[in-house]
Amino acid sequence: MLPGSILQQLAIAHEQSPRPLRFGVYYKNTLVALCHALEDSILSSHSQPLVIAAFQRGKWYLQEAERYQELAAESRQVVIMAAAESGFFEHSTSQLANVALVDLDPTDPVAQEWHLIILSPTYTAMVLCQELSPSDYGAAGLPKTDLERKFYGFWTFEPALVQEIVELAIAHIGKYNPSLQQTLTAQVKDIVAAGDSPLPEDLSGIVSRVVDYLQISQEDLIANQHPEVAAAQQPVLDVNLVSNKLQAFVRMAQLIELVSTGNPMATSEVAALAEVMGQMLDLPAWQLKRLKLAGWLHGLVALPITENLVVSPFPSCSLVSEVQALRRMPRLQAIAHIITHQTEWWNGQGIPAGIAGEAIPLESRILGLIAHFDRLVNQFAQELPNSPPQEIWQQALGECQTEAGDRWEPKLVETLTLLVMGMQQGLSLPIAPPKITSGIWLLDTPQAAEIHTAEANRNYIYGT
Amino acid sequence: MELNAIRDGKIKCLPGADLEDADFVGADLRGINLAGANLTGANFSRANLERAHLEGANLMAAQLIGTDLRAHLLGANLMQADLTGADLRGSNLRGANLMTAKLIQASFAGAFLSGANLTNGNLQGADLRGADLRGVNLTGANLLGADLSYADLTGVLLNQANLEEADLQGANLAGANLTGANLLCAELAGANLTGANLTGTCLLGAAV
Repeated sequence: MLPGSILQQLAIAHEQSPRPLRFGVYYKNTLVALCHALEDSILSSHSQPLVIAAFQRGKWYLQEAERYQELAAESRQVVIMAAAESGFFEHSTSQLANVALVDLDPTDPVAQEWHLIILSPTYTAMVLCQELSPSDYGAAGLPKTDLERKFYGFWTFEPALVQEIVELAIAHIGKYNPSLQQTLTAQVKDIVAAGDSPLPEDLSGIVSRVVDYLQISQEDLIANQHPEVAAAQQPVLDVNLVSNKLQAFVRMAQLIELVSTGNPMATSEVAALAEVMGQMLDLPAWQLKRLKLAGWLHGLVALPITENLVVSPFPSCSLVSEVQALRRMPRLQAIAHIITHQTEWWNGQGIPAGIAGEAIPLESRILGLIAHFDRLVNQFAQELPNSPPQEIWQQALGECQTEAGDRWEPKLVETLTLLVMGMQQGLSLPIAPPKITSGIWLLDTPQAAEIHTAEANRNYIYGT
Repeated sequence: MELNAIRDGKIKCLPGADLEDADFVGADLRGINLAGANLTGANFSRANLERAHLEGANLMAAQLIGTDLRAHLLGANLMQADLTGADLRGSNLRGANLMTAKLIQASFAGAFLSGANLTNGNLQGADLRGADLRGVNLTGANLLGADLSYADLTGVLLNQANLEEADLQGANLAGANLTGANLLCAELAGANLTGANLTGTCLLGAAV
């Protein structure tokens, strides 16, 4: 990371945080689609945001300047950072009253960065990346085409992170233009005062747009709309697009979970617990992976409100749209099916289908129990901050045990009991934020034969 | 026909058999003994080979896509084999030859691979959590997004390997050769790099 770059400042600020940031690799092809989707969401959100964009060089801005004219009309303020090249100041977009230009010194590390930061009371998003230097490409060699240029960094919808970055960016802008810094600082103050929503409005619509735009890029690659990209390189770009489609969903699920539990690691905890539980049940590798991905995405369905639960601020009807968004990716349909049925009850009294027993997909039964257990653990940890974790686990387990046979499959509650015993004796779970690249395999639908084998194994496990 | 009898589970003991290019797609071959057999080019995709004895078997260019291969593979030859999505959790692959094998998204969690040769193997997205990879040759291997957390990689050869976005959290890389390797955005928190050779290694965005 370049010293003094915004990415590096973000990394340093989060070095000691309980949830370290994980940077990803992005090809320019992916970044263009991602940024266009996030920018176009400004037009549909009517949120009048502050937009800060860093383009490296004036010529990259000029390629987008026509689009930015439309974006400026729907924005409170647009700031463009780039190392000026001819036409930078002259373009009609540059002349607009609410567009400010920052002519970056070519030696400024920020001139190697690609930012899109959107802050408003109802819509927040950001992309923060840095380009590899020619020597960083190493043995693989320099990219042959513009679309293959490689960046690394981070993107998110999370309002708190976006606000943090806006403040870093404004401080940097202040080195060039102190009066603009003052104006922007005042605007941020107004936006923060006006926004009390922890979650962007219409998040599922924005995520759907991101997925659609990445899909279009992928189709363009497949249809060879970019003959300049060598055939050998196309799968690499393709994987990067697919993994970002999945990341869009995971980010949405994480954010919903964060808002409803207050725990930024809730999603990772559920995924790790579900995987260990699957291992204890000796599920085959493909089913474990599917279970883990469903764990990452389970937050897309709000749990039904009961007296034992922290009341979710989201009515379940509106969240169905998040699951529908998932179905836009054909290979995620199995996951959508699992998380849709995680709220069924073993006795058939649950929702949405009211199915009972083994008619409920096994992964849904596991996930429902684990998500409920984790939610109780988080709730008790907040209510009883001085209790040791062993007691909190025991209490949460106790609640699950009282509902065995009604809400939960008794065998699964027994397995959870063993898991909790293990945790009380020092078993630690590898709770890590999702690594999306390795998650791609999860998207492959297993062959019918594998499902058959899984059912056979399952009967073997339960002796039926 | 012998092949049908094997597929139906009637014949379980075939050490050293010649079954080149045989078709065992989806077959239930749990516990079969094929030690030292010639299985070159055979197709075991989605078959169940749990606890099978394949020590020293020749599986060169075999198809093992999605196969349950939690088996005994000591010294087996899997050169150029396709093991995409195969389940090798806890398997014994010590000294096996996996040169240029396709191991995309394969599960090797807790497997024993010490002394195996994985030169130029494709291990994209593979799960190698806690695996014993001591002294393994992974020169030029593609480990993009692979999970190597808590794996033992002591003295491993990873020169020119692609470890982009790989998870090496808590891994032991003591004495590893990472010359010219790509660790862009890799996760290295808690990894032991004592005595590792990092000449020309790209560590941008890596969480150390």
